[in-house]
Amino acid sequence: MSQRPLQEPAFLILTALAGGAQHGYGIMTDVGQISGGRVRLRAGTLYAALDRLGGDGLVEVDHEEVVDGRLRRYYRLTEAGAQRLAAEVARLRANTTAAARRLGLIAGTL
Amino acid sequence: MSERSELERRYRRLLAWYPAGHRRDHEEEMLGVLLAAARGGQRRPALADAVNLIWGALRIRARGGPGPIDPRWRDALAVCSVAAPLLLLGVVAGALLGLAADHLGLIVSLWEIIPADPVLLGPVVLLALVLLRLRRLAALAALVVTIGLSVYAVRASAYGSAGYMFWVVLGALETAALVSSPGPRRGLELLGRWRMAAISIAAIAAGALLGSAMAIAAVPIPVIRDLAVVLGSAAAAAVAIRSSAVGRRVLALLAIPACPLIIAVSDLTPAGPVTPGDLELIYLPTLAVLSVVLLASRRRRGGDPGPDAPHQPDPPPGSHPAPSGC
Repeated sequence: MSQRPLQEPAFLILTALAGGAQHGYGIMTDVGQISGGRVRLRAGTLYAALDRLGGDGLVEVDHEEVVDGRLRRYYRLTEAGAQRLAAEVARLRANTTAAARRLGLIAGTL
Repeated sequence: MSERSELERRYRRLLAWYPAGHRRDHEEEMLGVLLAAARGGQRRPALADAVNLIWGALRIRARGGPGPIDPRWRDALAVCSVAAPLLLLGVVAGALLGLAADHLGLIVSLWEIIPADPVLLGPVVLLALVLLRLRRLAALAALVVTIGLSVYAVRASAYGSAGYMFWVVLGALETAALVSSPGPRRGLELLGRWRMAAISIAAIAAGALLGSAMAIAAVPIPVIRDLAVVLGSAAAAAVAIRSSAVGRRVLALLAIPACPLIIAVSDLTPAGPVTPGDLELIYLPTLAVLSVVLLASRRRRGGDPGPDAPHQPDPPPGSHPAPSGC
């Protein structure tokens, strides 16, 4: 069954978590680095996305800790989340490859 | 107050937009993230962050709601999502007929009334969307109809009228039913063809009688019309409900708009200017029934579904168990 493409914040959050469990602020800064500073994830967007991704079983809580009296909750990618991210990578790769061939950036027949 | 605690207080006010469950699980964590991302010396949230937090809260509220609804209440709401627009249509049709008979004399003059009050066309559009099983569009239409009827009631200085209150509460019930249940697809499945036909005739007849009685305010309502409205509603309820878990819940839900309906039919509120006593008479019983229904629907939410619960897992959206009638 075809899946809806991931929205960019969700894609970047899953990408950030593919490198290992991270807490909310860590995900925000990592997303900024992954996107070369182009995407600035804000807390409202982050937690709305985590709520949806958690509901879909793509991310889960890894562990919690208290730092300077503040709760930090670490999230990790689930097996289903890794598969979903891999499927999205394959979809994007197919599209970009087709576009690159038509632009003559790489050799091919498409 | 220090800059940090001032900022924290303001962020907490913004986080109050989130549902209670989400706040319980994530408020401290989100606060930590927000404060970690704040600039040194910052005293108030940036406008973009404030808008982003409110938007995120609305998205989570729109997605989740307070939690899973008992399947029997969801099925009852699905049945109401079909029954309520039939009643609404009947009331509007009756009101138009009454207006035409009272002021203009001829039914053909309906076309002169409709352009003046286009909101009265809303129930027709709503019923069409329900029968086409377009749940989301129907929910939007129900919301517009409810707001339209409220404005209509206020404009006509009829907010103290139990009859108009019945319209508005019925519209609100329809909106809630469409938003929080599988909607008309499941409702029509549960009702079946014959029960649907019976409930249509009874609901439209009862609504039309009530609507015409409401429109001809100056004319005393004949006893026979009262009886017809009550018997019509009772017949619709009896046919739709039988004796089942879902049916009893349909009855409980329809009892909410039935409060102002009964008050309207009983003619308990005297003619003339609206007094605070009239408003209490109309609004308090309706609120009381609404509170009881809400309490009953939440009592076992997430717990033991009870002895008459269906012995099947909660179906995913879009795939519902076979109809078992109501």
